[in-house]
Amino acid sequence: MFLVLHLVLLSVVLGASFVTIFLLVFEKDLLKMIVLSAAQSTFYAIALYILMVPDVVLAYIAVAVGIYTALLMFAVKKTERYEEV
Amino acid sequence: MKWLSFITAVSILIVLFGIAYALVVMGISGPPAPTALRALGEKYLYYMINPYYPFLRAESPEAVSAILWDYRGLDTLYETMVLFAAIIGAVLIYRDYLYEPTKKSTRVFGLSLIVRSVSKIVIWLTLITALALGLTGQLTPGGGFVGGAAFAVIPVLLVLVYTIGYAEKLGFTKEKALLLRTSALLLLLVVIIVPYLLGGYVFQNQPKPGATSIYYPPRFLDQTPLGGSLFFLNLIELFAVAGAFTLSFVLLGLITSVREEGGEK
Repeated sequence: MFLVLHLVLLSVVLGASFVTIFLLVFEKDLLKMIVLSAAQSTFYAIALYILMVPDVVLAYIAVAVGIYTALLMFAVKKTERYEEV
Repeated sequence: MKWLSFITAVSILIVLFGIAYALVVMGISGPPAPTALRALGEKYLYYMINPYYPFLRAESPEAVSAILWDYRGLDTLYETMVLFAAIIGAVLIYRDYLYEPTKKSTRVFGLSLIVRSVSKIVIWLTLITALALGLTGQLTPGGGFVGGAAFAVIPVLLVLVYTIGYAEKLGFTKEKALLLRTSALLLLLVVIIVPYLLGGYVFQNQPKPGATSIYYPPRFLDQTPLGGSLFFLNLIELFAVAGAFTLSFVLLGLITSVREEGGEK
């Protein structure tokens, strides 16, 4: 029963993460892209939590949502905000 | 165009699902992963804090910390050194800026009032979370690296939301971060060498056969398991990682602000 629930949750979260990546690729605003990337990392963190690796989850949240997002924001600050086609 | 990209996305999803199915269900890369506990994991869980096997235990209720800092401690030590080398390499690129005094920024207030007010709460919550993760690494999932990485979010927020001048006024300076980083690594080496000087092995935590150390790190602090040296190693790693990330981000924010003000070197 719980295994099925886990698998359903896992596929929902991974599907949401895939949708986020799809939106991210077609986004023109670089800041929105960073926010979508952070959202995708959050979905991955939930997926890792369902896969029962709490240590990896904690490191992943700190690095992927905190530090990586901030690093990309610094990078965007030094360039233009909107991507030209 | 939109339809084409949608079809591309769906086909990528189908290919990914196919690969996952072939790997996990059909087992084309060997037998599928067992759902039960593996024999090695069982051994770690059995010996970790077992008082009947004094020569094999790590005295930590948290298996991951016990493995990271005790059973394969040298691996974690070199991991820390690799991070140190990477940060030093990044700092070397910007060495011209490292010992340059920070100019007083004209914009002291940074972003809007809403962002600043929310950040005030988030910064304190981050501080508490980081310290909790680092200090209870021997009890719950977490540990030094995670705590340090969470701590590094504070200077990042300060530089992004307020300004680099404000972050430096609060004490997040590049000189202090470099000092913290280097002294933490030296302290880590001291903690590793001390058991050897006392007659045991390098990196020794609890008693081992053939080692006649006269002192072992404390196992408990008022009934709270400390995991011997694991607590101290986690604490030092927290400072090391926090210092490393703070240094790189303060330097990055500094360079951005210097270039913005037209002070290009």
